[in-house]
Amino acid sequence: MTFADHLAARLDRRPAVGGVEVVGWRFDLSDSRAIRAGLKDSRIGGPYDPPSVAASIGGGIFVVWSDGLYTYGNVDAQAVEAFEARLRAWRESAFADPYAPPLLPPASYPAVETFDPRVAAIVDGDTELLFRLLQRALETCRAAGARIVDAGVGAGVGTRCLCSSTGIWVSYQETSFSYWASADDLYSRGYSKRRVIDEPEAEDLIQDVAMTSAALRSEAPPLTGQLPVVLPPDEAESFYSHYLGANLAGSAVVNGHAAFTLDDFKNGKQVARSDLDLWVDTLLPLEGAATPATSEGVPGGRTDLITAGRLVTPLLDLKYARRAGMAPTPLPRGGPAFLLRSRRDDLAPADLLADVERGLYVYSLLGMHTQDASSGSYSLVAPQARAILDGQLLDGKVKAVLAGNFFEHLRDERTRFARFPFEWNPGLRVHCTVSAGD
Amino acid sequence: MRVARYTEALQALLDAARREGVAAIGRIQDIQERSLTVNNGVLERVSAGQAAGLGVHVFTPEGLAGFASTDRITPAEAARLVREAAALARAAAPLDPERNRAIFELPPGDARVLPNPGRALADTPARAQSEALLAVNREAQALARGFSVRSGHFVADEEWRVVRSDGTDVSFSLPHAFVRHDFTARSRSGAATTGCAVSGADASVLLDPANQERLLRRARAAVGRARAVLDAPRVRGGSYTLVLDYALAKGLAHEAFGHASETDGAETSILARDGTLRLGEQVARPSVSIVDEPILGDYAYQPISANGLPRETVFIIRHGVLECGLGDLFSAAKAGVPVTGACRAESYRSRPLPRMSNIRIEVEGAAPLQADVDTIQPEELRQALLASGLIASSEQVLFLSGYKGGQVNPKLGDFVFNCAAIYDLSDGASPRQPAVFSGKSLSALWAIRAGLGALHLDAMGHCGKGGQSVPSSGGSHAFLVLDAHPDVVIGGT
Repeated sequence: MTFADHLAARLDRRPAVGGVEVVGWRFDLSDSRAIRAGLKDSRIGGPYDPPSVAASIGGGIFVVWSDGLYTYGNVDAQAVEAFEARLRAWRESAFADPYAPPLLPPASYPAVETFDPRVAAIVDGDTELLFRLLQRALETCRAAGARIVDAGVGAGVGTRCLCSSTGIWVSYQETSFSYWASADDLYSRGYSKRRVIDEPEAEDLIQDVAMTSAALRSEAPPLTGQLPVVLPPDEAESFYSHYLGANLAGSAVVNGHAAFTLDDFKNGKQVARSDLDLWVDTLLPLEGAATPATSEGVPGGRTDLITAGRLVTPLLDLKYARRAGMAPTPLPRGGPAFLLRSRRDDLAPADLLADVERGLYVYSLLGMHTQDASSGSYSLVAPQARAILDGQLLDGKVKAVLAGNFFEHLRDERTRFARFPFEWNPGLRVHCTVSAGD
Repeated sequence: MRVARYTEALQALLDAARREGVAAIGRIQDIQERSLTVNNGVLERVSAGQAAGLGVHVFTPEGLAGFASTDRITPAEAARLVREAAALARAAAPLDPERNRAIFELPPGDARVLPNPGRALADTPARAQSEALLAVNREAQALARGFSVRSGHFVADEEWRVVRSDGTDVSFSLPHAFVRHDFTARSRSGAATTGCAVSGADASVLLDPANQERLLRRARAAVGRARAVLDAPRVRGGSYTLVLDYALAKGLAHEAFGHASETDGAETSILARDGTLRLGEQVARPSVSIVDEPILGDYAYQPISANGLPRETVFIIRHGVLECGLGDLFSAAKAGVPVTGACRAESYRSRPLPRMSNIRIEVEGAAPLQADVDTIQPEELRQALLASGLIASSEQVLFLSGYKGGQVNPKLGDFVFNCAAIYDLSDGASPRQPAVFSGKSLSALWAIRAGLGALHLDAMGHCGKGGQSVPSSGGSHAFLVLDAHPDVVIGGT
């Protein structure tokens, strides 16, 4: 019997604390093992980033008690061996939740690819690729003139088990693979999916880091004014996650902490240009988002959040779906957390520069996590950017402070979207206030 | 302590290390947490968790390092971790990895148990916390009619036990807790969210009447900021004379200077040259000192490092001179500073990094302040600054209030942090939309002109260095005044 089997068996016996019994339960466990290696200050290993291996089992548990109280707790590696102690701890934090989610019956769960055997082989000991990727980042960036190269690579494999007293039993294997590189702290880029990075992807990533950091090595004069600013996918993603993620979260919407109210969704409020669509999809094969079910047993799939610029639904777990009076949605397990498309723009990256007389191309942003997502406003430092003049990207690092409002950008006809290789979400070009950094 | 039960596993770890011919550091973390959320008068969530695990850091005699962790703490697992970590360390040998033998130079250690300075979570009924949080949320709602009010309370009862091959065996606690409100105001032009918090070691942050009163005072200020900025104009970007509240001053200390003094970054830090910190250089006015200190009862209290060494009080800057860095076992010597026990780890799975604990800016000759730091209004502050001669009536001065976090690149010396509201003290203390405060670390250091009021050191936050989140804390005088400097700017229109 597995750990999950043992735990389910204990819970099925309707254990009690002080005469109050467990009458329903659901848990979502992950039993995983991961290996990683790193490069710090151009040296592999060392005390701060040695080759490492980690093993753990754990997850969340939801318990329904016979007196009508509910527990939101966690399951750790001792949960079976020390079951009675854990049960008392779960009981201690039980409370009356008027919006407690129901325990769903089993559903038909879609098939989605979450396991790459090549990743599992690495975790089992075939680690040559990990060190080769680090060496490659070091050699390529050094060849482009980098003095200090940092990088990291990791692989993980595990078994997820989602089980409930209502008969849900979803168990499958999943993998994860990540790789990132940075040169002279000028520019970094990363990869994170459920599959080993392909050769073209690795080459694209490493060359981009090497060449871009080389272009940023010298200083260039500042640019100021109301300017077009290009945000490649990584920087664009930070805006999507911060301003859309926070404001589409069910709890924030229902409780009035988001930019959008529940009525805004029910009325289909126009919040973006009519060519823009935003959705989640948890069936993208071998992506971090891929999952057949949420931790509450809601089947995976695709759900539209914004269609033709109009709000459709927040991201809703069972609790907030009930409070909102709307259907629960799939919830991605990793990236891409959202998918964004413009039906109007299908540009190539070079098109974002072509008609720019004077503008900025941003490679990094400082301070995103400090911005008030509910306002949509931002004031950020772009410590590494390059000037665009007459459609050409100039060498030399420009530092700038950017100010604007992301919701206004989504409504602005001047905003442009372009698809970049190997990226799900587009980079974009917005018009905002650019002032000189120090 | 809960970590006392793992002696057999830790002995097996040390025995395995001897057999493998490596030096080992074993770190056990045993943590219990509870968090509660009340939204607009409704108890939305009470969640509790606990976890324990073992991380093993090994070093071969040649200085090669490996690391392994597990959440199954048994003698057999502990021994297996040592073997695995040692094998990983040796596997990297052909790649000319970094070698570090500092652990072999430590003197033999002993066994110590430091008592928990906080109240155990097991002794804190969840019901009492729920009732208290609902009560403070109601108080906050009364202050903020028409706002959405979210109140959160978090308590961590965290124990560590660190053993080393040299005989060190030290057990200690890192209790930390907070209670906070977040207020979202809405107008036709949009929404704005501000917040406030009280932090400390345990649930007394919420249950103690004095802390409830403190939270209420801070809530009034936060509501005021939210109302002020909702439809406020943007500030014009540029350099100004600045007044920071002590939470922002903590952010300045943490982001602009603290990270640059951590010795693992000395190879490229702006406070270093050729990998060594530039000790003895004048980097600020002689009136300015920056101190990092573990403070009992503080949110970021850390009496013992993740390598089992005592964490010391460090004058990073004393009277304007760079005096010391935050040095850990592995990088202090190379950076030219003593080991000060500065390393911390988020969890047993983490490799420790030199980190701050409670960091503060002290300015000699700070002017006295009669008003309460939590309730003083911007116009009152302006009058106090004028009366103390810290600003001139003709000066254009911006007051930045309500710290919202920051970020730094210690290699390039670029820092940024954000505030909840700005007040133009040269324009009737009129409010402005928050804007990022950024610049060069060394320039900001020189720009510190004066302090107003007593030291306040409970500004809490979280530091995300290296992808590991640990509690951070600190402060300064109630308010700090900075000269206008071209390398220190406010973003804006």
